[in-house]
Amino acid sequence: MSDREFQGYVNVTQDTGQTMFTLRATLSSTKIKAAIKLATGVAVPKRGSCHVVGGCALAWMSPDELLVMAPIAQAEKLRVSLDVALSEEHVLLEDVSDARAKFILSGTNVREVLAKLAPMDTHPEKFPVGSFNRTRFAQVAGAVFLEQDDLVSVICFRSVQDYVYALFCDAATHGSEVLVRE
Amino acid sequence: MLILNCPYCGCDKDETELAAGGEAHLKRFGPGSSDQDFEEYLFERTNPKGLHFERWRCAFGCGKWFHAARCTATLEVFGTYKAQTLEPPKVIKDVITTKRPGWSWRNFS
Ligand SMILES: [Zn+2]
Repeated sequence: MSDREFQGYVNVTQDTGQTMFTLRATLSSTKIKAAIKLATGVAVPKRGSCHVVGGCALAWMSPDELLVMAPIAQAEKLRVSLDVALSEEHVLLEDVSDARAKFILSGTNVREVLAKLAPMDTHPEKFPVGSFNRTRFAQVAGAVFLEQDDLVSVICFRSVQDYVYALFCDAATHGSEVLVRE
Repeated sequence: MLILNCPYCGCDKDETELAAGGEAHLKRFGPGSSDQDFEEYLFERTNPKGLHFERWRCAFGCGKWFHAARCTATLEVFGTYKAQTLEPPKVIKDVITTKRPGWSWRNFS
């Protein structure tokens, strides 16, 4: 599927250039955290957040799971360095790039568009920049990363990518604004 | 509408993001147990009007099971706590004692 784009009061774009790994490990272990940082160059994020350094992102999925994201060009190198750094540890590393889809929402009202579809509090006090949350969009599971105040990454299963894309395009349609902002 | 705070995610989750798992703090009776213990383990559940302890799963979030203490009549939530425990932690019991003095539930009070 090629990248697609929708222009509404928030813009919706698909980003097909990302590779994603699921990494399950004991994230409370300082040894494992150090190994992950060595391999990716990114510090293991606290719960509910996502760290990005040089295009590589680590997102907190659960107390024992991270989502590793990077541009496809870095995929092979990243996989090898994680394998090497964690070879002595009991972990699971799996390439889930083909199982996931990623969309980018941009615009000043991204919080509102999210709030239309997910039962989460998108207020800046509860969901500040850097936050990562697993939730649902209408009827399917998904995750949200607030990269900037007006920039959000949405991750879902690839099997429901058309549904999620249609949802966000619909929610972002001009004329469907809830709050009118200056 | 019920909103529970997932103690693993550390954030509020809507009822529609959770999966209900029934009564909490059940003791399993498996092979070698008496027929009566096994039957009670399988089928006997309390269904109180008022204070109740339940299991919930953060289904659309982290995927972990946790426990919640809440009132089935008013839907007031007294607190949620991690499932790696055999009984409600003291902090939860203290909250309940403040709001429902003299409470008891199964063997807890
Ligand atoms: Zn959770």
